[in-house]
Amino acid sequence: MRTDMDILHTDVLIIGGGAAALAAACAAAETGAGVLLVDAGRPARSGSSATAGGGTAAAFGQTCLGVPGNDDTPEIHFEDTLREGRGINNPRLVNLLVTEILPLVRRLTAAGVPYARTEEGLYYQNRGVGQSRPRNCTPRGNSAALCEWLFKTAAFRGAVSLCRMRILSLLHDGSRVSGAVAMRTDTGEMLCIAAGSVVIAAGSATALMPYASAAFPTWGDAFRLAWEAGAELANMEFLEFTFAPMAAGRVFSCGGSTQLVSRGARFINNAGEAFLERLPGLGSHPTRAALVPAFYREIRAGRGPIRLECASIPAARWEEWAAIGHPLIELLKALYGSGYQHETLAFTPALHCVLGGIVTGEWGETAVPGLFAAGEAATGVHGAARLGGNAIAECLVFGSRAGAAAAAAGGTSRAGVQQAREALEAFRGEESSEPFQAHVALLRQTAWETLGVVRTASELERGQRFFDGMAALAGKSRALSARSLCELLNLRGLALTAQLASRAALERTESRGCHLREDIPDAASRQTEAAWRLNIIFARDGGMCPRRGHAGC
Amino acid sequence: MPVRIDRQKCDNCGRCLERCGMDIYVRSSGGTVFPRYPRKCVDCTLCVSGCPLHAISMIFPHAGSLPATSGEACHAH
Repeated sequence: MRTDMDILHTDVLIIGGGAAALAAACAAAETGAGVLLVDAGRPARSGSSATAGGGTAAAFGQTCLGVPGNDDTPEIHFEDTLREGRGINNPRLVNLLVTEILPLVRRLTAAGVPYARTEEGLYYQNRGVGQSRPRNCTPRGNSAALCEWLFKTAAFRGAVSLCRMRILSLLHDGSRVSGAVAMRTDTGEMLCIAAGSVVIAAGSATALMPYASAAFPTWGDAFRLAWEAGAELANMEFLEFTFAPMAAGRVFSCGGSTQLVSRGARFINNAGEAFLERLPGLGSHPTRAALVPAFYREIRAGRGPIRLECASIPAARWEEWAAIGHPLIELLKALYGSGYQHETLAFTPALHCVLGGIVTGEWGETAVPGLFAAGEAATGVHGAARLGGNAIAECLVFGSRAGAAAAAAGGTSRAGVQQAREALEAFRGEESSEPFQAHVALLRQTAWETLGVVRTASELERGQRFFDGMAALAGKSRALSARSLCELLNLRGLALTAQLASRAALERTESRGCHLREDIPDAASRQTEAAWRLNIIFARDGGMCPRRGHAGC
Repeated sequence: MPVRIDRQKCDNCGRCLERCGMDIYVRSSGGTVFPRYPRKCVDCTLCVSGCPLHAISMIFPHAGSLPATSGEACHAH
């Protein structure tokens, strides 16, 4: 392994390679700033965006499967988002989301993103999970096509990207973030990056659970980097679950099941009963936060496995879907060949994303000068649960805003190789004998058991003790080889995420959105509903002690 | 091997190679694109949906066999 280190200089360093990072790169490069994109995988082919459906919530109120337009407006989109987020979203951010996504989607369409439209040029708008009006515009080729377009545009505007590089640590010059230390994941070669400002858009921590809907996992790097730099994190108790298909004896990391449900597919239990229909209060367009616990409880009552029956989806919808393409449909085709529409597929709950994250303001700014965040790494838009279609919309709107703001921030970096070498001391050293990979597996299992779909205080406390121990062990461990260093980073990122999530989940003594406390009666949660309409926030100077308040910069 | 290329249909355009996030595909010196590192595949299906000639399919050894119970989902409780 080389021991010397190269240094790269850039105006804006963007960490990540999904929709938010690429939107940030496009916006920053458009201003003429020098942009360097560093991704742990391949830009446009990593994180949650690459395999997402790509549904972008934008309240045009246009056509839906041959049905003429509806009365949708940004105001209704705003209300839907706040209702789904159970009142703890940051309303300023939601307002920006619902208003700015409309011109942004039009602009992207005009520039060549293949959003599905009618011959007259109206958007096909499908109903995303929890939406009161059909609101999702979907690119043909899904989110992958959108990311590909963003990546090419960013490159055309001069952004440079490095793939297969993990960021070990951010550099700080006393007053602001001034760059980062990166490592090539294959060779272990280190690189010092001096940057005027840094945008963290590296996703959340979908690897926290053994089952996740995203094919390319994220390891909590975004949270760890921001936390170590001194930024605030909030809403960490809200882990959003969805369903992942089980077939051929294993669980597939594949999302999109709720889209099938919103288009007429039904979950059936082992007796063939569409059990969701007998449950009161779910309504005609149930939200994900309502669907997942109902599904989970059905399995626990011994009526699993739960299968998705697609036969009730009308033929016209399959045709439309086939044109757009979808990972789950590809999986069904692969498993069953022709006639796949009439098959059923078993599902298990799986982690969809971490709704908590870095506290940001309207331009993605954090409490640390020079540090910005966007996408799944940030928090504030979604509150306690996420409305379908808002994820990609958030990435586009706030990725663009963070990129533009980071370029405008324009600091001069004084980061140097010596500072990078000092930062490396927290990671590189005599190889520890600890089996990091086994620790990660155990951590994920414990997270599944204690931070899963339903939670109790005793299990959360058990988890917290375990995660604290694992974080301490990871903190004092060092590694030498690239592979061991990657595993150590995985462990540190997930341990921190789990520590904060278990503390926040213990602190919030009610059920709200996708945080379900089984040891607290629903009646008690209803009584304290108004009092709990706030965020649980962690700040580095407060240690691991959560503070209650309204998150925002 | 989770992906299979139908050689009758494939024209080695390299779209799969571009789309794969795990770099499982390589182009041989003779120009043939093939899945060199199939064990790295994460079943994202991006190559399948991106193939303009529909030449790629996913293959599973026990396609269609579903777990007897979904105890996996609740084994923690």
